[in-house]
Amino acid sequence: MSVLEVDDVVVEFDTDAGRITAVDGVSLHLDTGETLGLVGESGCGKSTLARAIMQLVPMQRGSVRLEDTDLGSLSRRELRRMRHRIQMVFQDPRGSLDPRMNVSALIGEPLRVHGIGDRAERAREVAEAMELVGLPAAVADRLPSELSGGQQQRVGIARAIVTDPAVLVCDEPVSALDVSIQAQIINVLDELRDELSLAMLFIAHDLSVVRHLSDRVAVMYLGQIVETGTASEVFGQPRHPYTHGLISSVPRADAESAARLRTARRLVLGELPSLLDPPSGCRYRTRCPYATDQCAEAEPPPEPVGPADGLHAVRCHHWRTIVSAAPEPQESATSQELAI
Amino acid sequence: MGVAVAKRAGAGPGRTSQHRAWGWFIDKLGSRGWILLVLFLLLLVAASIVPDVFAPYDHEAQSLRFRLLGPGESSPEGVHLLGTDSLGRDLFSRMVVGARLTLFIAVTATLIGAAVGVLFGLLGGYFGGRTDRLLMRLGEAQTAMPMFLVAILLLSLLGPSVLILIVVLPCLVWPIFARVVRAEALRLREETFIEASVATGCSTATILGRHLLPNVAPRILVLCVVEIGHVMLSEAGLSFLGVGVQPPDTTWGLLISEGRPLLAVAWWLTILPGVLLGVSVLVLNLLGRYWEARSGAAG
Amino acid sequence: MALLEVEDLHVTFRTASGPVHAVDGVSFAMAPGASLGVVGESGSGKSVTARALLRLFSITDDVQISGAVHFDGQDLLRIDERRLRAVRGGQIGMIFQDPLTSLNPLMAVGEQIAESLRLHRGVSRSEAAAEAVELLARVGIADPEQRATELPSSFSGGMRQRVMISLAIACRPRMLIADEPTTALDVTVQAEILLLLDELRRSEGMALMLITHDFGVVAATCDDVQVMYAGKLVEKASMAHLFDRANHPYTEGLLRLVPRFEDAHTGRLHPIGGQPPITGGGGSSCAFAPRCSYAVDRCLTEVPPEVAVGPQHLSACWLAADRAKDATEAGRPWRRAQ
Repeated sequence: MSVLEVDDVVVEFDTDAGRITAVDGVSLHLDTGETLGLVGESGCGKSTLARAIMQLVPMQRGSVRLEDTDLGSLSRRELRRMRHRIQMVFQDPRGSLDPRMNVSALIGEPLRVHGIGDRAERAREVAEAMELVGLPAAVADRLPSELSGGQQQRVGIARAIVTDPAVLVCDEPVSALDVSIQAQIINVLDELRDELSLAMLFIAHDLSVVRHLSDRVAVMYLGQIVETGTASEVFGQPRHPYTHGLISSVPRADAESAARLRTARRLVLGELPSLLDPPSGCRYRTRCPYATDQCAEAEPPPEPVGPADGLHAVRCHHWRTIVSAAPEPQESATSQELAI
Repeated sequence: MGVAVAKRAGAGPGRTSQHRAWGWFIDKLGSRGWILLVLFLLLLVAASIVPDVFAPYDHEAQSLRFRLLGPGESSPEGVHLLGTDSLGRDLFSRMVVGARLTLFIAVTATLIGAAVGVLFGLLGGYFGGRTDRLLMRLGEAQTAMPMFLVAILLLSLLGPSVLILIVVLPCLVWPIFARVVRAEALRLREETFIEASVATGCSTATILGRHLLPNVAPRILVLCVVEIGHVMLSEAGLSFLGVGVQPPDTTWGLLISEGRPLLAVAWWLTILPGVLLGVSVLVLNLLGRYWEARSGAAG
Repeated sequence: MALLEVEDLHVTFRTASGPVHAVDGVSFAMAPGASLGVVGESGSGKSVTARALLRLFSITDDVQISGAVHFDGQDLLRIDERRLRAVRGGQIGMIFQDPLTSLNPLMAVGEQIAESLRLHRGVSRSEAAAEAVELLARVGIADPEQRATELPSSFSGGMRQRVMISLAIACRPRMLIADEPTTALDVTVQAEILLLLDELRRSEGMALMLITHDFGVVAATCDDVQVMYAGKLVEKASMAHLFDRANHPYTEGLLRLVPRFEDAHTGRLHPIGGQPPITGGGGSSCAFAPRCSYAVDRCLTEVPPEVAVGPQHLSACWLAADRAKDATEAGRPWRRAQ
């Protein structure tokens, strides 16, 4: 059963230059214990989508159902009461923590505002959450400024899981951290997901990290999901030219590195169009090497790929004729295969 | 062989030229100077709480034979350190006693002004939009009015009293608090931690009270200290003009006012309370700037 | 003959909390047209090394540099400021992570490039303007005549980095230093910039020194790689060789640190425990020893020398020889654990 169901969400913003549609009819669902990775480049609307799901920005259309409750239909007060079931981890670990509250107050705040437990119980929950994310008890009295970046993000995660939410939304939780710290935080999230059977929406631009953590992935481009499916389907056999270009762009430490980048350059042409004036029809057509007149005229609907279990879907008129944009080089085929 | 390259440039704490001027003062004073300033302030507070300990004579005891004694001259009672006034009352004792009402009015009026300003500033800064425009226009409208003249008018119409003074003086300072707090709240509400507290499920009251207010509190405290000095000056001005505190109550402003007709024959009656007032305002200003610089460096 | 020869470079910052040995005895050489990736975590001294070559430090830094940087027959650490300025942006171009802060926001990009041309090459105003347009075209900016008249703010991040590259190559430098040039960019843009750098290096015959924390970026653009830790070079090798036979435990740690894209979920990652020393190098032990799972007693008492462990392959580790032997027998030691 889906714990989170997002249906046809549209988010528009007014900017100085005019109105833009940051999220343009996105639907997705999330099951208990499952991680959905949301990838895309800056400006694709993935962070706005996260905020719409969290009900932090108003939606123009669509619905977000959390455990069968339509969040959009709730009053402010009711929504506030629901919030302990869906929590968020932010990109900027330091900025997301009130600089004047110490670690235990920060982690205990969600319990306090939701009136969960008495003082002693809350202290116990906080200690437990700190242990789960690997924070030593000694930092409980410290201020965020006295912690390292990795510890700050652990506090952010502990605060998000302390109310035992059903859904955890992670918006680029590791991209502000140094590589060696990233690995630690990824492991923390990985362990929590297994231990607490969280449903996790993991947003990142780093495809390797997303592939490592996600069961399913969704690829966003200009406010729309252009391809979705299991991680191995989407990353192993990408159907959308953008997905394939994105995957080929990831610099990998092997002999074919430069060749793969050239593939990427072939698949992702020119520059990102402005959201103020998005292309007609298929959003990707202005950068797509396979674009035809049809692409400019009609917006491609999501079409199921392969077995009709509905998991792998792609928004492209030509995905059948674009011979599955070269599958991944097989590990065995390249003895020079190197890693990162 | 070593090659030295760059040298550290002289780094002052300030950014604007005004800051730099204060910065120069602050540098000059050094840490011992600060102790003196705090000590001065403590003396003032102590004098206003227990004036009898500090005042050598009864501040109301008149002695027409020994009126207008200069500083250091003696009456049978003893030496009058700062001289006596036209009724022979000891000026030093009157200044000590005057400290109480001077400080009381200044502190109370500032706190009221701060409370109003902080509330308006927080609401306007956090909610923005119509609330913000309304509150800020109110502040601007008031700033545009010559409030000092309005105060004079009000006080002359309603009759001068300490109570009305405490109601009128906050009007002079609340827009300053509102502006500063609003600017801070505007900045803070864009911080992720405010978004995080909304996502956590905090109510607006919690966000304002537990997240915004504590983060602007240091600025408010500094501003309070500085503004107490300004309110002191305003009260002195009103009292000097005769629409403020009335005898037999006394404040420094009133002392200056009482001494004014005798400036030619007894300069000390005007100058000495004036100096005390000026020094107090300066000390409060310096302390405020100092704390600001310190907390700025730490944060 | 080497184009660049760095000998025993030391860079020490004097800070309020004591000296920081950001670069601690680094020596390396680059041939004309060579490509070298410098890899390490933040604080490893990789950026400071690059800046020290051109003495690019902020006026407020209290910094001491020693050693020698021979470039094209002169020691860059000892020539005067005027001649150094001619080298900066002349014979050696530089690009940085954040192109926006390096461009004048109030000046059309074409003018900025033209200004640099007039300054370094003394060409006339009209020649410079024409060449600026040519340069913009060469770095892949569409409609260069029009774009040359626009301000930096109307360019996207990737396009700004292209402008920076055109500025850096304007004077046909013999060497280009790129400090995390793509870290702030999206992957598809990064791919284009990396390819552009690679192609320019080949067509201009420039040497390229690329500083990054990402081995994948090095693999796409560089033939050689050196790994820095706490101000020291801990491993130097050719790209292909390093990935097959990473020798130093730190290199191994870096390689195992990040998820490999080719792998679906394969269990937990392997973070390197602990933190790099904040005071940089300068100790009397292997700086990596506290974080190293292979460390032996000797690592804590003596600084390991650079040991040759293969052709063009050096590793500064007391266990280098043993690890090299293991690697030859088993291959890819860092992969076994996965």
